[in-house]
Amino acid sequence: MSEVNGCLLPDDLWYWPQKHVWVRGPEDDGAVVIGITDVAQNLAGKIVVVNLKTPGKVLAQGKSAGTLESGKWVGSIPTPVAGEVLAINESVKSNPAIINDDPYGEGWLIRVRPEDWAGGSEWLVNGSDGIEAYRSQLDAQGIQCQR
Amino acid sequence: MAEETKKYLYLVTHGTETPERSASPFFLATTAALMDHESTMVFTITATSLLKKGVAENLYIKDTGESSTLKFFIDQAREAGVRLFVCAPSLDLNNCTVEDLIEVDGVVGGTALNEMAADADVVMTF
Repeated sequence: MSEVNGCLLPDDLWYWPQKHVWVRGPEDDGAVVIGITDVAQNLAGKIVVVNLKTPGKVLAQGKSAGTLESGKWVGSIPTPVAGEVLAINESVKSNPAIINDDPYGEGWLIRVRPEDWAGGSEWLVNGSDGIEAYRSQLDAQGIQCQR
Repeated sequence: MAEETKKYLYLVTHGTETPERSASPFFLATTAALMDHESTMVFTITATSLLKKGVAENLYIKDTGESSTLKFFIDQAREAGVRLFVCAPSLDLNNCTVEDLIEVDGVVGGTALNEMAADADVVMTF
C-alpha cells in the first residue's frame, strides 16, 4: 500500500488517475472489479446515495457506470474499461458509507467483463509507474486527503 | 444490452421568491447528465430570475443554519453538461434581457418549448 499526499493507493491495482477510479484484475474468467479510489471518496465526503447501472448493461469506456451523491454534491463513476456489467455491489446501495470506509475492499462498485482488456487498459496505469503518475496528478491539482 | 440515452427536460417555474425550491431542479438535471442522458432545463415565469447575473452567488437555499448558494448547483450542472434555456416572454416578465443573464444555451418561445416537451422521454416540472 502506497500513501500519496495522505491518500491510500494499493500497489496491485490499475488506476485512471484523472477520474479517480481503480480496476482490479483481470480475474481468471477475464472479469475486472471497479471502484473509486481513496482520493475520490475523500473529495466526495460522506457518500449518502449510490446509483449503479444494472447487470447486463454494456458500458462504453469513459461513460457513466453510475453516480455518487453526498448531500449537495453529485458525481459520476466513469467506466475505466468498456464491457458488460456482470454484477453490482448491492451492499453499497443499502449502506453507501462502506465506500468511504473501505473503498478498495467492501466498497467495490461493479464487476465488468471487458470487451478488450488489452486495448482498454491502455487508458490505465499500474505498478510503481502508476502510483507515480497518480502522484503527479494529485500534485498538479493540489489534492491532499484528510484523515 | 447497449446503453440508451434518454432526453430529460426540467421545466422550472419558480424563482428568487422561493430559494428553497431553486436547487433541486439543478441537482436532478445534474444526475441525469452524469448518467449520460441528455439533460435540459428551461426557465419560465419567475424562474428566469435565478439566472440573472449576480443572483446565484447570493441566493442561499436555506435561510437558517449552514447553507449553500445556488451558484454551487448551477456550476455543478454546467460542469456535468446540462443545457440551460430561457423562455422568451419571461425575460420581459422579469424586467431583463438575455444580456442580463449568466451564459445560457438559448432562448426559446412557446412553440419550441412544446416541441422540446413532446420530444423528451421525461418531463419534470418544478
